Amino acid sequence: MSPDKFAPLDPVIHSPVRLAVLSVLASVKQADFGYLKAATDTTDGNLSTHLAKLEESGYIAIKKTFKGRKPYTSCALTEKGRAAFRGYLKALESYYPA
Amino acid sequence: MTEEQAREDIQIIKSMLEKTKKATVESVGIFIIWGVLVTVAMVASYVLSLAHLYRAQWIVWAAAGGIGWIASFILGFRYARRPRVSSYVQTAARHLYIACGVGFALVCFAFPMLKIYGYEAIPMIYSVVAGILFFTMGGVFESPSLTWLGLFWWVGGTCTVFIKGDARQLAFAVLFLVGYDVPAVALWLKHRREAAAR
Repeated sequence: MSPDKFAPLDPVIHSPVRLAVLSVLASVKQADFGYLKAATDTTDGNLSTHLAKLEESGYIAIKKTFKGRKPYTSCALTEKGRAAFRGYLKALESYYPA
Repeated sequence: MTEEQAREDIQIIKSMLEKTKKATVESVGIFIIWGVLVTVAMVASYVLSLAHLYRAQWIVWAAAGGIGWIASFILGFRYARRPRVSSYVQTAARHLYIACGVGFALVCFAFPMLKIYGYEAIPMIYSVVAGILFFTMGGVFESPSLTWLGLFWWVGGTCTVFIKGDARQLAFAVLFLVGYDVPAVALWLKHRREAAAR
C-alpha cells in the first residue's frame, strides 16, 4: 500500500504512554493516578508529563483532591478525547486493508 | 508510521482494555463472608428452635450482623487504599447492591419487627429480592449463569412455600448455600486463577 493512502495519526495520541492512558480511560468512567501508573508501567514523572499533555489538548480532565491527608488524582476522558480516540482507531484501520 | 508500529499500537490498546476489564471486577470476599455468616446463623437458629431456645436466636443474628459489619468495614478500608479504576458497570452494580441490601434489611428485619408479616414469610420475600439481584447482575455483567441464578432463587423461594414449620428455615439455609455461597466461592476461585495467570 502506498504511504499516501494511510490516514494521518493524531500526534497527541501517537505515543505509547498516552495511547495506553486513553485506552484505559476509554473503557471506564475514571481511573486514579496509581492505577494508570501501574497499567502503563511508567514512572510518576513520566506519567505526569503525558497526562499534562493530554489535559492541555482537552482530551482528559484531571481532578485533584485529597483522600485523608494524601493527594488524590483521578482522570477521565472528555468528549473531545473520546472523539479523538475514535478517530485514532479509525486511522489505525487504514494500515490494515480489508 | 509503518504497519509494524500500527500493530504495536493495537497491541497496547488490547492489553490496556484487558487489564482494565480485570481491574473492574470487584472483590467478592465480602460477599463470601456475609454468605457464610447468614448460612451459619440460619442453621444455628434452626438448631436453637429444635431445642426450643427461641429467645437465644437473636443473639446468633446479632453476632452474625456484628461480625459482618466489622469485616465489611475492614475490607472496605483495604479496598479504598488500592489504586482504583471505576467503570459505569461498577457504578450500576454498586447501586444495585445498595438497593437490594436495603431491600433485604427491610424484608428480613424491619417489616417482621413491625409485625407486617411473620418471620416465616421471610424466605419467600427474601428470594424475590435475591432473584431480582442476580437476574439484573446477569444482565449487567452479561453472565448467563447469574441470570439462571436469579431464576433459581424465584423457583426456590416458591418451593419454600410448601415447606412448613421450622423445616422451612433449614430449607432456606440450603437454598442460601446453593444459590449464594457456592456461586460466590466459585467466583472468588475464578478471580484467583485469573490473578495468578496475570
